[in-house]
Amino acid sequence: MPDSLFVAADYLSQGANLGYLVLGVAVGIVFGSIPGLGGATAIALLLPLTFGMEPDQAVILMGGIMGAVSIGGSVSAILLNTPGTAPNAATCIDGYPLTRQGKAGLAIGAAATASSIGGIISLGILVAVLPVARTIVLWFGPPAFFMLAVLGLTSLTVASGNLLRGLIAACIGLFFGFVGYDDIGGTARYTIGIDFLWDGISIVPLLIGLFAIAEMMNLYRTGGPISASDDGDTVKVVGTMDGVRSVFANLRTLISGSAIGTVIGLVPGVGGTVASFLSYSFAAQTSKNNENFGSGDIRGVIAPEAANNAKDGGALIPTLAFGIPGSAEMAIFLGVLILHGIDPGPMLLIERESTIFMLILALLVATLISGGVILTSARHLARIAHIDSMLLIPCVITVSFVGAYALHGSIGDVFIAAFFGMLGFVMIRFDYPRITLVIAFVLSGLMERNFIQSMIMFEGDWRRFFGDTTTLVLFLLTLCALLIPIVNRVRTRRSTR
Amino acid sequence: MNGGSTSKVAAVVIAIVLSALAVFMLVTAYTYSRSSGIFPIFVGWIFVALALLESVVQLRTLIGRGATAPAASEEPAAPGGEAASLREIGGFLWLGLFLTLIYFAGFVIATPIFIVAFLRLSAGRSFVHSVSFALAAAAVVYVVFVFLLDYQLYRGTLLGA
Repeated sequence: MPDSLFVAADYLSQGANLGYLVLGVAVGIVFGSIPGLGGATAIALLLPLTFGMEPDQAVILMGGIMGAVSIGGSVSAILLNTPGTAPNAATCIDGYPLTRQGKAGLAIGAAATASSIGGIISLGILVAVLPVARTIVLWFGPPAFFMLAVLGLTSLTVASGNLLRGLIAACIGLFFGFVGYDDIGGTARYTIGIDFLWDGISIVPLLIGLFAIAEMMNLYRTGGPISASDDGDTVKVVGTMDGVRSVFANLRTLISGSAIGTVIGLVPGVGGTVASFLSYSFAAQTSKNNENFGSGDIRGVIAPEAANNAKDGGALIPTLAFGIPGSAEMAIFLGVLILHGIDPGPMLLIERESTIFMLILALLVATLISGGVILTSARHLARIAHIDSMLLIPCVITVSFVGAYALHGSIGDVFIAAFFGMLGFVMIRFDYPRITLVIAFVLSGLMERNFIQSMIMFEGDWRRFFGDTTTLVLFLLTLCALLIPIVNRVRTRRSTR
Repeated sequence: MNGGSTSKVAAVVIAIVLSALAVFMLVTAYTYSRSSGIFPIFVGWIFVALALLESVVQLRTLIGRGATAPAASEEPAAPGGEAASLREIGGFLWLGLFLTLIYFAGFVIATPIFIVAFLRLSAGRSFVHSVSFALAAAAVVYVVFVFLLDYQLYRGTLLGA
């Protein structure tokens, strides 16, 4: 392990690679600061730039974005009461009241520091857990892998808040994953007579469409500046060092927030929003002198920001070890790995340990750099959120189409990106979670391969799926994940009658 | 017809389209060889059941017997009623227009035309501002993708792509 760490550190410190990291951090901060864009859009848009890079350079660029985006999102949450990314919403509760009290610098200093330290703690946990994860992963045979993917998709769907539509979106994602020539059966599936589809639907135009283009179509629908608040222009950001000190004065809040974020990040689909709100409510309920929570308590900024950035370390464990992404960003990151010939899953931990450390170091350095950038330039960053969406839309759509084309030099990919852009917009409008579609699409190959291997192992008798203890436990967890929201809904209905 | 009921009708239409897609997926899966069709058939049956359930839920909501199913997202706030619908249709039209331009004229010509048209007609910017912004944006795309990354941009069917 130390050898891989040194190899990764040496590679990262080389000029061009450090440049990619800084580029990733800059893009991450800007996209994080602009409400409605976020990390998934940033990664989808920058994905085409990585085609000519070495795999490890692409990992560094993406690590830079992922490490910076949540910290960038805290600025608009604190100064404008408009969260840059969804997980920053909990920061608004106490961050914006602090701004109204003239303590914006205190809040930003605390947010940047808590976010950075939260990220570092979760990465430390990731490094500690990786050897254990490698052992655990080797216990999993095809039936258990299939059931784990089902559990991941189910928990993701439940977390999306709309069970029925989430499951439908997952089925659509699997359906798109089936498109193309099937090597096992020697059949072209769902190509509807289009030769271009024999190679299957590429993940790059799908991601660009669902995240970048769909978001722009939604911005076009809403129109106007992304943030309507003028506070960013008038507020003074002073006393950020007091904010830094306040984090160290509230170590208990910081550590509990980081732990909650890491654990929540481990569960596929639950994500940063749940982590930050859970961390906030835990801090509000367990802290002494908690009467100021909601009206400008600095612990109300520290807790969600620590959890928000800590979730990435947790989310990387199922993504890297099992190839099962836990969030939209991780799904797209998985797409980047696949695109560069890195196959996530058990063998990644064994064969490409240095790549994993490269990512961990990139996240670590990105977290520190972005924390520093936020501390020194928060007020200017808040202005980014005032950008007129009408200028942003044609630029992002243009880059999206060029990026989709650049993958294979095929105009077909541009049409695919446009199709998924329109589909993504319809999904936003009608509350079909896009994330379950993406993750089902990414997992379709893994699920089908393990399903067929299991059926061969069991000689076609599906009941033998439940003969294996690991598979049975995962199946029961899947059932629980499906039943809990249904039981909760029935209870709520009864109590309201 | 107000915006709310339009959304409910649209939600029903989407559910029915999804049901048709699910049935297509399932029926087609039965035409494949055993190893190619086994997993699509497994997923197809689940998809059909879920899509039909969604159709029933949305139909009940439309006729006023169901209360819980959301028809369409209300967030973020959008212009109301007919204006919102027009903007939604406008979004599709702009995307379709840009795609058509790219297909026939390629990226280098289509990009500035699209940006100028969009800024003039949708954002109400002055002609000079629209043209200068479009040229700058097109130049950035060209420099990044062609000069720095060495990609070939699509030239369009009219220019012999």
